[in-house]
Amino acid sequence: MTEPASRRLLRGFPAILAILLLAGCSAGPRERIVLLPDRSGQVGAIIVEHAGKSVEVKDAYTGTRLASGKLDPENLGEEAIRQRYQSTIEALPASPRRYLLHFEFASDKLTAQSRATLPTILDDLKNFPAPEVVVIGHADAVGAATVNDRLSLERAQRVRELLIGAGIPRDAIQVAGRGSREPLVVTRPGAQEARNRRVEIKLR
Amino acid sequence: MRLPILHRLALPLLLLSLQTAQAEEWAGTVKLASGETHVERDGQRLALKTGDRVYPGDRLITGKEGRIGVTLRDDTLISTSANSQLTIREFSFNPATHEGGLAVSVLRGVAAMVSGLVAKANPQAMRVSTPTTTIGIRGTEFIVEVESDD
Repeated sequence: MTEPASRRLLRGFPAILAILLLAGCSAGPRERIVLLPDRSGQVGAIIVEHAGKSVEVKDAYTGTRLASGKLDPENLGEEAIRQRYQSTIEALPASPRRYLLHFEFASDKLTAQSRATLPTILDDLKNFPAPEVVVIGHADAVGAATVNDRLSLERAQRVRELLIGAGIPRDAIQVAGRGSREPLVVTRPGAQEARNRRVEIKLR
Repeated sequence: MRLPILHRLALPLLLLSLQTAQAEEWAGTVKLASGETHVERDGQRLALKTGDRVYPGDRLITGKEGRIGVTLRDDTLISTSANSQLTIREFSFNPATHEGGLAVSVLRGVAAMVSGLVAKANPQAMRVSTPTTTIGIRGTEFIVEVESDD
């Protein structure tokens, strides 16, 4: 039995479309994605997806290459990667630097040791172009979450005033309170813990 | 001419609220801008220099020998080298909860990235794409290169 010509053409349509799509893909840009070890030497992972296909990259200095619409794993090696991408890697800003300040018990007074770190922070600030200071307050697990959010913010605001007093411009400082979400020492709910009543200073 | 009291109050209040909205929306700060560096914002092309803030929607552009390094508010680090274009399509970050979202497109050239607190709190919240691929981030440092023929 023969089909009408128009019908045959229609049946062939998906195949023609697929060819057109493939041709379209091959004309696209060539792309490369490479995983690097992070600054502490640990290696994370990335998942690269293209046209419904995905490649997971788990090893440092390996990656994927997309060419002619096809995604393939690629291993150029550390030296080639470092050489090719040196100027980009060097342009990455410095990692933020963190300091911890502790308070005397039931007081908004810094401990002597914490007071002594203020000059170091001012000194380190000079290493950051267009410096920003983020002051993050924390609370222990005593009390309701909303109360701890406020308390942790108040601690951060208190430290901001100290930093302004030490010569850091107000508009370079942001404050935030993390409540009791991020304890330094994990405790049972509702427990007092002096080490968690703290303020973290971040330079970036 | 004396303006009605309400009008005299309304304008400063309006300006203040606009400033606040803009101040809260900024995505990050330029830590390095050397060579030819620009930003395309709201259809305008502006020179980009160290200390400038970048906003969601900004397209960062480098020319020959241009380099840009940016630290976003969630500590994500991004750099691009010469002849590159990268768009910060989306950025939001709650410093108290670390909830937010970040979408970056590398359109051409080379970019390096170190993921920050948004991706740490929720890996799905950071999305990086190129003209034809999407990249899921499970930590933390990587390079994206897009070669184009022109």
